Amino acid sequence: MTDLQGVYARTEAGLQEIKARAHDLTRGQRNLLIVLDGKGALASFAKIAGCAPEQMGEVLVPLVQQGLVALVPGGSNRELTQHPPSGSEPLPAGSSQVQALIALAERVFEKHAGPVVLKLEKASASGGDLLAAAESAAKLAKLTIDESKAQDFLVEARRLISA
Amino acid sequence: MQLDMITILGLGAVLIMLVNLFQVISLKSQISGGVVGKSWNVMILLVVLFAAGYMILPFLATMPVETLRTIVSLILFFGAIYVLVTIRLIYGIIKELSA
Repeated sequence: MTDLQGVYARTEAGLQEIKARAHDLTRGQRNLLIVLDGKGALASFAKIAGCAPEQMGEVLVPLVQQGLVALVPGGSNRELTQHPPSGSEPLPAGSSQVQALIALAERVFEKHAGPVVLKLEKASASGGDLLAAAESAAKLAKLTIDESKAQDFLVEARRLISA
Repeated sequence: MQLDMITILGLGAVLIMLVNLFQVISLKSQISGGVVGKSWNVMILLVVLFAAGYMILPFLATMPVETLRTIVSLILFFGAIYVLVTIRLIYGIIKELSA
C-alpha cells in the first residue's frame, strides 16, 4: 500500500528519463515524474498525475520499481514501496517549478504542447523570471493553440508559481 | 507561347503563388488554433483560390473580354478579403502581445 503522505523525489535516472523518454511511461506517470520534487506529499500531485489521490499508488509504483523516483528520507516515517537501485540519489528540487510548469503545459495542451514547453525550457536555461516565461508561453498558446486552454494554463501556472 | 513581358510577369506570379501555397500549408501544422489559427484556415482557402485563379494567366489572350473582366473582378474581390483578413490578424496579434 502506497503512503499518500510520503514525500518522493526524482532520482538521477528519473531526471535522465525526463529528457530521454526511454521508458514507456503513461502521461500521468511522466507528469508525476516531472513534478515530484522532494517537497510535497504524494497525494498533493494527484491532479497533475490525472487521477484520484487513492489511485496514486498505481501511477507511482512503476516509477519506484524502475528507480526513477525514491522516497525522501525524513519526508515520511512510513513505509517505502520499493527502494531505487543503488547509486540513485534523490535530486535537489532546483528546477521543480519549471518541471511542474512543463508538466502542466503537456497536460493542458496535450499534443500541441511542444512550442510552449520549448519556450519554458529556454526561459529556464537562461535563468529568466518564471512568471514572465509562463505569461509569455500563455500568449504564444493563445495565439497558436487555443485561447481558453491558454487562459487555464496561465491561471494554473500562476497558482503553481505562487505556491 | 510568346515570351513577352506580360507572360513573364504572369509566370512569375504563378510561381510565387505556388511558394505561398506551400508555405501557408506547411505552417498549418504549427498553428492548431488560437487567434492566428482562426484566420489561418481562411488564408489557406484564399491562397488556394488565388493559385487556381493565377493558373489561367497563360490563357488570358484567348479569353473573351467579358470573361476576363469577371475573372479580374473576382481576383480583386478576394484580394480585398485577403488584405482584410491579414490586417485583422495582425491587429489581433498586436492586441494580444500588448495586453
